Amino acid sequence: MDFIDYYKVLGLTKSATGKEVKSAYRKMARKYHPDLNPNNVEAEKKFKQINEANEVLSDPEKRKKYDQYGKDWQHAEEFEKAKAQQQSRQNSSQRAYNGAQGDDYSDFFESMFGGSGFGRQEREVKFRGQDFNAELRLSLTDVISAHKQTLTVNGKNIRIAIPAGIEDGQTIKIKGQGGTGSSGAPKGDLYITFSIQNNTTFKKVGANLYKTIDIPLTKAILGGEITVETLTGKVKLKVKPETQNGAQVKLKGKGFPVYKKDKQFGDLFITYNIKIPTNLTETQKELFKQLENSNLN
Amino acid sequence: MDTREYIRITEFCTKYGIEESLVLVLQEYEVVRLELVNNEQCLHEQELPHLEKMLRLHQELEINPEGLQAIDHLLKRINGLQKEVSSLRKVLNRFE
Repeated sequence: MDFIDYYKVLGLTKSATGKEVKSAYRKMARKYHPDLNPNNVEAEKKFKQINEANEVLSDPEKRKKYDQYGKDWQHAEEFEKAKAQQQSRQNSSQRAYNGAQGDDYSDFFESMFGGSGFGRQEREVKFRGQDFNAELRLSLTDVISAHKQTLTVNGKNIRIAIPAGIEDGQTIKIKGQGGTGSSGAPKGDLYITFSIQNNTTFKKVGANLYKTIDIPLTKAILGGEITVETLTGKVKLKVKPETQNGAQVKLKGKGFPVYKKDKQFGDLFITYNIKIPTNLTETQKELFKQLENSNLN
Repeated sequence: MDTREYIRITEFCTKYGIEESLVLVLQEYEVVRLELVNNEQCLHEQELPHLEKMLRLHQELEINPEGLQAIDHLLKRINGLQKEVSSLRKVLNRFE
């Protein structure tokens, strides 16, 4: 195991600043990068040395250690041994495992800084996994309340929580459920876009619901009670006397749940359509005539 | 045309975590050749190692697209010259 003068490799003196190290590394890396020197074994070897030198000299902690033990690296080995004895078995085994991956480094580097687990940067380029996109079709009544559902994406079953009030066309991200990353890079994400079909008789605008209902003429004039269907069941509604055609009433909190706002709902708006009676009997017609003659406006 | 041999640029960029505009600039500088398949910009799988090499140079050595164009041109020339040297050596060996 020969001592490697990392300063010499990068053409620097011991007093070189971090900026000078970076600049020298860039300059030499451009000269010896394997992609720029096809079929050149010497350039590849040199590039590895440059990378190694940069890794030590650009890291203040490693540089300090290298400066301290550099030429007498045997002492550094002893120092490391003593240090290693104090470490737990778990740490040791972890380092041994990681060390097996660092074939590109010189024995000198390995003896001083251990394997790749010793705070060393991974030189292998890591790419995050691919993001997956999926569409989930649901009915409006399915999303009145929060529930869990199992989806099969790329042959894998994923259980997701569907929040109440999710909108048509809305996309949610499930972190880490996309494709696998390369070289230990994180997985991609799964994006689920919801397609919500309105299977009700309500018109939906945001969290508010709208519906037009027919009421008999007599009820509109005299007032009374009607039963109205809401998303969650039937409710009784009082019709005021002399209600006009097209009048609207608001049933507070009887609309759609507001997305990600617990126990918060939109309103239900009921519009009255006064139904004009047909097929009147002679008596009924006579009564209307009497009304007409009574100066009814 | 077998579409299985083509990689969609959007997919490629997502997988490699790079901006689509970078690949389009490289196409502009004729560093990489893209093809329109089903109205989408695609890369032939044979072009993949070349594009990966150019991206490595861009990311590891911070070489801009203009520099990559020059490098690409010179690498092609080196490659041609190496082949020429190799065939001349073979001819020379016959006379030795």
